[in-house]
Amino acid sequence: MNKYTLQILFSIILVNGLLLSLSLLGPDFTIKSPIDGEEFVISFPDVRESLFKSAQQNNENAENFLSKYDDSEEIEPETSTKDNGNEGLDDFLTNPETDGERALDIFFKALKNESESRVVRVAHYGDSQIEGDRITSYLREFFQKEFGGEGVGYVPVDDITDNVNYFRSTSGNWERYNVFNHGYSSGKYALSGLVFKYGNGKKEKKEDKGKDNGNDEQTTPEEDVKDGESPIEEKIEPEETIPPDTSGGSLFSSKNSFYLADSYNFLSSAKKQKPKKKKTASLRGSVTLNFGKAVKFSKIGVFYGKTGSNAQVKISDLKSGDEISTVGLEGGSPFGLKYVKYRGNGSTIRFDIRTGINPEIYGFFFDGNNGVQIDNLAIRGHSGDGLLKIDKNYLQAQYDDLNVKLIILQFGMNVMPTIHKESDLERVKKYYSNLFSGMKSRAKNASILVIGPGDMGVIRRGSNVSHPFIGRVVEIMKQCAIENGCAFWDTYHLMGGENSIAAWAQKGYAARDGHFINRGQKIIAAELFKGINGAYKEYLDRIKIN
Amino acid sequence: MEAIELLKYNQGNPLLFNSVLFFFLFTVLYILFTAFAKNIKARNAILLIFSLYFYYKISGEYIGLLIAVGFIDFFVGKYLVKETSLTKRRILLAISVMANVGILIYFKYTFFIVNQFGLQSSQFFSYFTREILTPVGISYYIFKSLGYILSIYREELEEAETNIVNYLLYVSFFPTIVAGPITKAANLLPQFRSATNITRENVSKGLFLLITGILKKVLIADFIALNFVDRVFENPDLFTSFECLIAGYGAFLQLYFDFSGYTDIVRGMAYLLGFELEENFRKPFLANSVSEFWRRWHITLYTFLSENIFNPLSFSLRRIGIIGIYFSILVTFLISGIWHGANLTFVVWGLIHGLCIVFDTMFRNTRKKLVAKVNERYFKWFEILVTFHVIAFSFIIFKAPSLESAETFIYKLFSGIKIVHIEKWMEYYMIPFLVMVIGLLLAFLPERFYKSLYVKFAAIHWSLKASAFALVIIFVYQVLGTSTLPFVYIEF
Repeated sequence: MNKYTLQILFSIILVNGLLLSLSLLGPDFTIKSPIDGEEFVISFPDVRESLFKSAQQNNENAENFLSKYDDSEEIEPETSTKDNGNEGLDDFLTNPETDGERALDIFFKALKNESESRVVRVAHYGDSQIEGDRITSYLREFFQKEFGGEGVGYVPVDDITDNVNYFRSTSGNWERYNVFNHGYSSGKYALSGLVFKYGNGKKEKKEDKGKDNGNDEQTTPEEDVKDGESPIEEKIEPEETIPPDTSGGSLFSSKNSFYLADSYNFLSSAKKQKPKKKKTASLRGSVTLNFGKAVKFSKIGVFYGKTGSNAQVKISDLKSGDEISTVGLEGGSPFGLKYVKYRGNGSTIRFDIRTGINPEIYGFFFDGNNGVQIDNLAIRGHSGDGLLKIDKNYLQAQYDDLNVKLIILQFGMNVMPTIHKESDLERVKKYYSNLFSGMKSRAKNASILVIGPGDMGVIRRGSNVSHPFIGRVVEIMKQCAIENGCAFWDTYHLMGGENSIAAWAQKGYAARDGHFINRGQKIIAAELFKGINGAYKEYLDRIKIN
Repeated sequence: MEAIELLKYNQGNPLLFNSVLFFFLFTVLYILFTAFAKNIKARNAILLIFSLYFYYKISGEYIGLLIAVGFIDFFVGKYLVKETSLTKRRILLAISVMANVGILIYFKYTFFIVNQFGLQSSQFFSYFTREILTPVGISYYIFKSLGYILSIYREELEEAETNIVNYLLYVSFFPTIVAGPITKAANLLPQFRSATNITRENVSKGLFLLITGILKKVLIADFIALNFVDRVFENPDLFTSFECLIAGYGAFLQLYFDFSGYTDIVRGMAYLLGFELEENFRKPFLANSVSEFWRRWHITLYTFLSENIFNPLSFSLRRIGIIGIYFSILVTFLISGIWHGANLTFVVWGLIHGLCIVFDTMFRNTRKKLVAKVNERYFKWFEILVTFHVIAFSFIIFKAPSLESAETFIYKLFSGIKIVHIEKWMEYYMIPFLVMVIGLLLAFLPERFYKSLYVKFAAIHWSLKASAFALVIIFVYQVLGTSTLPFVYIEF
C-alpha cells in the first residue's frame, strides 16, 4: 500500500468526516455577523434527507390526468358529467350562490338570451401565463365553436410579446402606459389597463415601489357617465381637471415578480426622441396587423380616449390594396369606439392614425356580429391590483358599452416571491379580497370568474418541488372569490396538486416555472371550457325547473 | 428496510455522481480498493462489482443488456484476433456490428422511427415498442465495445482481452458508463492489466479535476441553465429577441461547462483509482474553424467517428475524389447527430456541422491565400469569432426540444432587439449575466492559465488539497438551490 493511496483514502475520509460533522449542525446553520449583526444562513447536506428522500417527487394525480392527453393528437373539451352539489358541475369549478343567483348566472343569462343577436364579451385578464393570446385563443376557439362568434377581440397597439394570431408592426413612436408599472395620471385607461400615446421623450413615468396600495376604491373622481348613456361614437368634452393618480404602486411590483422575465413591463418600442415642439396637426402613427389565415372577422373597431378634433384613422386592407374606411375619432372622451364593417378576406390590416394632439389610443377590436368574443388582456408580472387604478366609472362604462358579461381574473403566480412565511398570507388575503370586491363593484353587470394559479416549481435543496405556499395561496384566493360572489376555477388541483408541475414539465406541457407550453395551454383551456360549459348546462336545467 | 430499499434500483431516484449516496459508496469502494490495490485480479473484481452495481442503480434490469454486449464482444474479439480468413473475419465483425448497432437502434431509435414513419397504429410496431426505455449510457458503452472489435479487425489492437472480468470492467467502468469519455480499449485495457501505481500526480490531478469539475458543473452550467437559459428554451415565445440571443450564447456555455465539468469529475475519480482517461475537451472556444472545433470538443467521440466511419468510408470512395470526401464528412456528421439523440434537432445539428466542415474543406486554399494578405493574428481572432457564432447557433437547434421549438427560438432571435429590453434584462438578470461573462472568460483563457493553477495546487500538502475539496463542496451546497440537474449528456 503506497503512501499516495493512503493520502487519497484519508482525503476521502476527511471530507466525509467534515461533511458529516457539519450536517449535525442542521440543514441550515445561522451565523450572526459580529459587525452589523446581520444573519447569514449556511446550508449543509441533510444526510438522511439526501439518502432517503427521492430526488423527484412524483405526482400520480398529474400522471393519471395527463395520460388521457398523451396519446390524443387533438385536444377537445369533454362534456362535463360530474355533479358537484351546490358548487357547479365540475370538480374544479366553484360557482357560489348569493341571494338565489350563482356567480356565473349573469354571463349564462347573456349567453342564452343575447349571444345570437349581439356579441357577448369576456374580458380575460392575466399575467404572462396568458400573454400573446395564449390560453385565451384556445378558450375563444371553444366558445365560438359552441356559441358562435368570430375574430380575435381586443388588439393592443403594441406589446412586448408576439401574438399567436397575428404579426404586428408599428411605427416606432408609440409609448405604452399600463396600470402595473407606468401610471397614467388621469386613470383613463382602456379596460385592458393600457393607453398608447405618441412618444415625445416626456412619458409620464411612475415606477411602482412595491408599496401596498390595498385600496379598493379608485382615488380619481367619478366620471359623469350616466347609466344607459353610451359614449360610443359620441363626442364628450374632456373634463377640466383630473387629479394625478396618487394611489401608489402595486404591492406586487415588477421587482418582486416571480417571473423575472415577466417584469419588463414593456416600455414601448419608443425610441428616445427629442422633445418636439407642440404641433397642431399631422401627428401620425401606424399599426399593421398581419393575421393568420384562420382568423376571420366582420367588424373592425378603433378604440380610443381623448384624440382632439380632426383626428382620423385610415383603415386599409394591404392584401387587396383597398382602403376600408377613414374613420373620424371625434372627441373621444371619456372614450370612443368606432366600428367599420369588413367583408374582405384580408390577412393584413393597416391603421394610419392622424391627429392634431397626441391622442389616447386604446387599441382595436376584430369582432363578429354576434356570439362570444374573448379579449386577451394580459400584462406581464401583474398580480391584478393595477386594474383598480383604472377610473372606476370609466371602467364600468366600458364594460357596459362593450357588453362585457364575464370577467376572468387569472393571476396569483406573481405574488409568490413575496411570500416567505405564514404571516405573509394575511397580506395576500387582504390584497385579493380588495381586488375581487373592487372588481365586483366595477362590473355590476358582469359575472366574475377567478382562475387560481397552477402549480409552480421552485428548487429546494436540489429538488424541483412546488412552491411551499402555492397551495395556501390557492385556498385563500378561492375563499376571497367566494366571499365576494365570484366563481373560482382551481388550476392547481386540476394539474394534480402539490409537485404536479414536474409531471407537466416532463411531458412538455409546461415549463418548470409554471408557464404552460402549447399543448398545456390547450389542455387548460379545454378543461376550463368544460367546467364553464358544464355549469352553463346546469344553469339551463335550473331555469327550466324554475 | 429503508436502507435495503435505498440500495435497490429506483427509477425516480437514480444514483448520481453528485449524490450523498454515491459519495458514501465511493468511500466504501476506496477502502476495499486500498486493501486490495496490490492484487490486480481482486482489485479489478471489486471495481467490476462496483461498476455493475452502479449501473444497476441507474438502469435497473438493463444491466443484463450491458453484460450481454460485453460477453458478445469479448468472445467475438477472442475469435477475431486469431482468425486469418478474411471471410470469417468479416462474418465475426458483422455479428458484432449487427448486435451492437441492432441493440442501439432498437432501444434508442425505435420510437423515433415508428413516429417519423407514422407506424404507431400498426399492431406489430406497437407490440414491439410498448415498454422500451432507453438505457442510460447505451450509446457510450456500445461505441466503446464496438470500437474494441473494430480495432481488432483493423489490426490496430494486436491482442484481444483474454480475461472476461477485465473486458466487462472496460465496458462498464463506472466513471465512464454514463456519458463517456469513449475510452479506447488500447488505452484502458492495459491499465486494468497493470498493477496499481498511484503517484503524487494522481492525488493532485484527481482532486484538482474533481474541484474544477464540480465548480464548472454546478456554479456555471447548472446555475445559468436554471436561472435563465432553460427558461428561454422551454418557452421561447415568452422572451424577447435579446433574451433569445443571450440564451443562445448561454446554451453553448452551459453545454460546454456541463459536459466538460462532468468529464473533469470522472477523470478525477479515475485518477484517484490510478487510471488515466482520455481528455474530451481542449479549449473548444478557441477553435478557428468548425473542423478545428471538433478536434477540441468531445474529442473521444470525434476520434471514434473519424477512425470508424469517416476514414473507412472516404477510403472506399477515394475513386470519386473530393466528392467522396465531402460525402463521407456529411455521413459522419449525420451519424454523429443521430447518435446524440432520437430527435430531428440532432439530425439538423449534425448536418449543419457536416456542411460547415465541407465548407472548410472547400475553401481551405482560399483561406490560406487570404491569410497571406492580412494580419494573421487578427484574422485568426476573426475566424474564432465567426466559428463561435456558427457553433453557438447550431447549439440552439441542439438544445431545443423540437424543430418547431428551434424555429420559434430562431424567429424570436431575429425579431429585433430593442435597447430598452437590454436595460431591463441587465437589471433582472445581472447575476446570471455575470456568471456567463465569467464562464466565457474561463472558456477563452489559454491552457497555460489552468496549468499554472494546477502547478500551484499540486505543490500544497495533501491535507490542504482535501480541505480545499471539502470547502468547495460546502460552498457549492450554498448554491445548491440552483443545482443537481442531471448531466445534460446523460440521455445520449
